[in-house]
Amino acid sequence: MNSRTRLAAALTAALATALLASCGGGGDGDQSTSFKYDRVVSFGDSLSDVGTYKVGTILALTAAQGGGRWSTSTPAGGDIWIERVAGQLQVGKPCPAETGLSPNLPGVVGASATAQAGCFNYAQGSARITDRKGPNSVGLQALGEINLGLTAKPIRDQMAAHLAAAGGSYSGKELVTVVAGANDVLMELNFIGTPFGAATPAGAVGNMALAGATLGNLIKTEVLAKGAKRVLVLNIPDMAATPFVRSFPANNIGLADAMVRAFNTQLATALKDVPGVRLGDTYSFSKDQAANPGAYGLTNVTGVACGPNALSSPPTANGSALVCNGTNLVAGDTSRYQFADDVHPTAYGHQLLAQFAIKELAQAGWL
Amino acid sequence: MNNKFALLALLAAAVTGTAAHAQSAGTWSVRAGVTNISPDVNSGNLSAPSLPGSKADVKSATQLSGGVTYMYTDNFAVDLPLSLPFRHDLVGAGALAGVGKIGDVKVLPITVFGQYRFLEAQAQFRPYVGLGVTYANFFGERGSGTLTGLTNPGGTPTRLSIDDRWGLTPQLGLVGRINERWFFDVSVAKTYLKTRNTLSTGQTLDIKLDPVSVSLGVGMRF
Repeated sequence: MNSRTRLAAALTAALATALLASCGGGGDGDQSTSFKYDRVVSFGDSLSDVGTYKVGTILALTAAQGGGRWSTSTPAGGDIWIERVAGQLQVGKPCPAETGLSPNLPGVVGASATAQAGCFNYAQGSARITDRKGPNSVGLQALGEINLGLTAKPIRDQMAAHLAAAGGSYSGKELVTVVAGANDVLMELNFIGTPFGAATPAGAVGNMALAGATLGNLIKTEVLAKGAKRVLVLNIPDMAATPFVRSFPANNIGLADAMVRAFNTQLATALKDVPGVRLGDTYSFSKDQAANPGAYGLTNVTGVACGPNALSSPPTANGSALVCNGTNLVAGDTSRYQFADDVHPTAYGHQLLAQFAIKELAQAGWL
Repeated sequence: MNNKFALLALLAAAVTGTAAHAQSAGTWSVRAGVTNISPDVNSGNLSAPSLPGSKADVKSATQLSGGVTYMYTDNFAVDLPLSLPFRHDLVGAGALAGVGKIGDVKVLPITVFGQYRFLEAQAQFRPYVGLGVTYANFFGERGSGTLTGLTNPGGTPTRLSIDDRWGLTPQLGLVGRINERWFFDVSVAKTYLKTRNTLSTGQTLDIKLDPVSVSLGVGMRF
């Protein structure tokens, strides 16, 4: 071969190699996390509750069609944010660390509070930071209320329960999540001028500031000081955007918002520059969703997706998300609604919250 | 890479002043070396539903490269750079700044340059300007766990595909004679290239890549 023929041959071979190499498909990339987590440990309220109250009547109402979480539980799976996050971290599906329900409503069957070994999601719907008197809680039955009897174990007690179950310390390989405070807002609002709350609205705002600082300190002394290395804290979302608060008179909407901000400010102050904490600003995130629903794929940020159900009172009213599923939604396409009932997100709202949480974890270098 | 630069320096030092028919009309040459591609990214926003302001950045990549040149006249050349595929990492930017790697992609840019080489064929150094047409072939796109978490947390892995596109590539370069047979070649080129990323979750991201390529090579004439 002369040099030109050699050259042509080499060129042809090089091009052929290059074109062959370019035929490979991409497929799924590496889905593993850079840090290998043992488990997710969650403290909080209904936003993180994966089925504390799915017993007795609630279980009977949701066993077949889904539910028992505070969301739409639809379409198939309809996971809430913490279930999605745990899935992404490849640590298995979270399960409630305690189940139980103590209704004094006629015809509703409960079950005694039972610890579930091997489950580390302590979040319970209605839970407050330290107080047992959450919405529809057993704590309110003592004041004469007829209700579902949610155990509503406070965050402080949830943290103590985990330390008891885990031998007094964390391994450092957990992702710990803390989302709480919204029930303190609801009850402080409710209790203004009563022996159980502040005398004045300004006092209620002060109580929320105190609750925020208390939660921050609990995270430091009961979680980080016990060995946890990665704690994702989400502050209280924009409650003024919920259908529940939107139904208030204008000055009370402003009061609710002031209470949320007072809590969030003190929580942020308590956790500022604390190693091992990532504080996600869910308040701003949810406020932006209400302002720019289209960007998030939301089609409705004011109405509710859950129609009348077995917990409705009166029976024709839209019901609680606790027993909401594909069989009792309002008419029309609710798949991209923000709200399931008047305070809780739909499964899609939870997906958005999970995306936000994953972004926070990735930015913390924890994914 | 350091070794390659050392080799280049040695070869450059061996330059002799012998006049000959280097780079005259009808000459073929081949070269081998290394190329670095640095995208100069201007990212659009990931379309809804997504966190508003979600953008991407593309990291640089270096690969073995080379090329073939044919001198059509003493001054006009046709040049075909060749390389192994480059693998670029995609990282979050904008609202996603700091999330790290969201995927990676291989690209095989195929460019044909027309070049004008200044000075006489046997000059010691010949600067040149070129204009090329580039076809950017993207393949092997892979999304990371972070991309899945940002778009479909806990769900099926999110896949990524990037459209192949054409671009224009102006170029500046310099050929230096080492001896009658050997030369070195340095060039810088910028490709004006826009493309679209599509996620399996449905969102799209338009992005201007405008990569700058720097190539170093040592070659021989035939």
